[in-house]
Amino acid sequence: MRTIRYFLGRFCGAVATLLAIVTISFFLMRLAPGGPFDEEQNLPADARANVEARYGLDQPLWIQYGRYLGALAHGDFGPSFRYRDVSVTELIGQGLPVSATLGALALGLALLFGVTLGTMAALRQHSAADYATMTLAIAGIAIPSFVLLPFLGLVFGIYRHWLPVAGWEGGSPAHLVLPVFVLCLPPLGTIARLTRASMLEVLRSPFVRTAFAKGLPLGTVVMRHAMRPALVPVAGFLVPAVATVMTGSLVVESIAGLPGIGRYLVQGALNRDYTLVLGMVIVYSTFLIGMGLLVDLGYAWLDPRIRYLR
Amino acid sequence: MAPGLAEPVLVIEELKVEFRRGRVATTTVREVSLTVALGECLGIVGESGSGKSQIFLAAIGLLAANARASGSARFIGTELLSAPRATLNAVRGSRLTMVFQDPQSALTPHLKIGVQMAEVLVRHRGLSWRDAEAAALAMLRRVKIADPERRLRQYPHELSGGMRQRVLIGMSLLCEPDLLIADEPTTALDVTVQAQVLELLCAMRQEFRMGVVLISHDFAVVAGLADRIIVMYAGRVVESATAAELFARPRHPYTAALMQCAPDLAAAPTPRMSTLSGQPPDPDARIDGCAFAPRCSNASPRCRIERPLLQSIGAAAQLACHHPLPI
Amino acid sequence: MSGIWRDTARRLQSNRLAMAAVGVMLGIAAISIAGPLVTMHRFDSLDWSSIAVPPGLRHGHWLGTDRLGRDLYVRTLEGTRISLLIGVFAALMSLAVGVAYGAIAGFAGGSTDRWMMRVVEILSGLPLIFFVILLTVLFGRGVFLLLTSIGAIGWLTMARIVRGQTLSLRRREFIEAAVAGGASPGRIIFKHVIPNVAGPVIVYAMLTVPQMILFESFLSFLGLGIQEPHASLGTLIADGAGEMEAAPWMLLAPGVLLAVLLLSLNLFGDCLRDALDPEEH
Repeated sequence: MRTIRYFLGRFCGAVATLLAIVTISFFLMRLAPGGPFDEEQNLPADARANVEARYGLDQPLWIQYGRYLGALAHGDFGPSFRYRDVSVTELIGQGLPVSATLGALALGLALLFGVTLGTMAALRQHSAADYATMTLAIAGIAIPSFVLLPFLGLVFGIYRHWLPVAGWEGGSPAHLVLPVFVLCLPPLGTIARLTRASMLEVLRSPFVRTAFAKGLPLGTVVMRHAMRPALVPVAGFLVPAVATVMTGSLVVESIAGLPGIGRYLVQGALNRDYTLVLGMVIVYSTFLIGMGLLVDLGYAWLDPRIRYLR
Repeated sequence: MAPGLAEPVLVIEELKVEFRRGRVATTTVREVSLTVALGECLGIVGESGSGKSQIFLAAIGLLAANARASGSARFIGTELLSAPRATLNAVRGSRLTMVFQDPQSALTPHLKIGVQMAEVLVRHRGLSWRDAEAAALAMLRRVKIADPERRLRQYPHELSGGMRQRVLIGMSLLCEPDLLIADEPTTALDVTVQAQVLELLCAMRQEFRMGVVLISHDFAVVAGLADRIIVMYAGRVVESATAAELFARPRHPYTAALMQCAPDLAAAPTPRMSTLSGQPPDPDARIDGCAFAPRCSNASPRCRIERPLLQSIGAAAQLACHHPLPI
Repeated sequence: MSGIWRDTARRLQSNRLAMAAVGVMLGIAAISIAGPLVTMHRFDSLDWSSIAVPPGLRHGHWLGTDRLGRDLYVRTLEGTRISLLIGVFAALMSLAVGVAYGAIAGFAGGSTDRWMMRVVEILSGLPLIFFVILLTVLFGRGVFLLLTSIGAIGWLTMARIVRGQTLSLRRREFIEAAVAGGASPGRIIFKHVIPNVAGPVIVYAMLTVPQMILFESFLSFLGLGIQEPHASLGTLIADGAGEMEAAPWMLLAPGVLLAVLLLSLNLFGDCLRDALDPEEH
């Protein structure tokens, strides 16, 4: 019972946060210096009035806000300001699968390899493999994606012709390799370091000592007894990891010419396309907040004590 | 229970345990030799830092990564100290088991009790999970845990401290070991629960006919159970004798002083009153002479220069002292 | 207090990796200042006779030129200097904001503290780049906006750290004495709280610099940061990436430089953190 009430509370908080983001973004946009049509120089006065009426810009601000919220509730993000006959919702519909595929693959790989490498480094503490892994992790975190991706494209695409440099081609695996690799490196590095530090600590716990004293083989002790407590810090990093991947996707999609929402966002920013940018920001924020709720659920699985302590 | 005549289950010879941190080497166990016979209960008493736990951690292969053990520890003929991990894993948890002192944290928090117990049998006896859990259930009954079916499905934090210790003891008995090492099994428990746990150990020892090593800093804990007692100070054995002998006539000044610190188990709990002043020596320091000399009321100048060697004084007794207490 | 610094300095000095990182950092900084002085080209001077030529000594363009005939050696070093300056400046700004915010929250306590921290919590959960992008969409691009938006990001964790330290300090006697003595809250914060939280704050400030540089490069790469004709490593890399197939040298110099710079800054920050708190190994 207590858990349900806790999650209900978290859910309401999440919705409130999202509402706050939408509201702030909306009012920021409407209050921006100059209207969205100031750069259009060729509109005669009545045509401009028409367009403004069509976009509802002649209404008082709070009515516009209400209409926007209403439209949002139906999944309607409004038309793009730049490309009048394209709706933002359409663009999101096209771009989301691409970005979601990239992001999910990158995050999945980061988790899988990050945890594995971190655990191995912890088991072989102070060995050459340990130091090598951790240095690699730092490199993955430090070297920016917009440096690495062109480099890799240069080496593997141009000098060696093994992989395509850009393009989506409906998600063919070859086109996914470089972008996903570059996208997964920063979170992989952090996850590896977190896992290593956490595993080292957990391996010194009394209950792990008991497990060893029972004559259980190393693999069983690590996987059954040590892994779940060791992953708690990694779970705490999941939401920032998603944020990192999202941020990285802006660059990766732009460089590699992948038609995801990241690329739309960047183009929208360069074009000053208000509704597009606003819509994308809302989509990203929703994802992130949803992820936060999922992680909270995950904590309860990792450590049963949490289920009761709330 | 008659001690000593049965064949030895654990033979430790000249065991030395050393820790390295950077360039500093700390020796916690210095040339300790002892024997545990099948069916015998051996009590090991000493202050914390005396090395009493380290001896057995070395034997069972659970020393910290920066520790080195030298000497010999033979368990029913198998040398344990340099044994490969596979050998160790075959022995520990099944024939040689150890119960640690803090039941609060000695059980894995995210696994059910049933799983943690059953995995011992699955691993060592090759049972199916279902059969193993049934055996675990039976064991929970043997260690007198009420409502065992429910407990089997619970997590460690849902059990009280005393119950957890019973589970740990039960877990160590699942494969009917030849030797059970109990390291401060009652220290973290309430006084009332302490008595119950010791009673349980006594009963189990008789039922399973196994050797037991009982480690404690408190004489009262080993009093009811031990056949023989070894007293340790600063990594060395200073006195050993049968329990009856030791309680009647302690010969080493440290033994006598330590005994006076122990509250009587049978009487109502009294606050601990120590007549033993000072601290055990720093394990990093080099000691000339007897380690106990600074705190000993019997000490002479000879004690500070010449370390007393451990010598046999009778059939089953040993003593390392220049000026033992009069009989 | 000073004992901690001496120990830290000693541990750092014996760590060869850390010293190497420091050397690299200082080297890069030195080159970025002194380097452009050695050549006759300016960062925005166009050399129509040498458009998009690869690196070479004959024509005096040591790292080659870009599509407009601008010397890449000068531009790369100027870009490095700008990135470094922005990074350090932004770190200082987030330091100032974070310390002030955290000290006030920790000192005020109660519901003020709770609300202030709730704001921090919400803001930390969202990738602020999106809001920076939103801001650039609205208010146009430019150096001022760039600086403001970057500085608006790094202060969050700093505020958390400072608030935590302030909370624990608040209960110590000398603070209570100062309060009893009638000192104003502002005075207490500046004279007593802030000097005592210096340690972790400085470490974190050091770790913030590469973050800020990365962020600025990121924005500039996307075209939302430093604008023409000025260069930052981000814009140079963007240009270079576009010309990658025909003229790879345009990418290599700024790319390697940025990677090395960030790597050494991160490594040093890591070693600094380990040196201050040598629990792990």
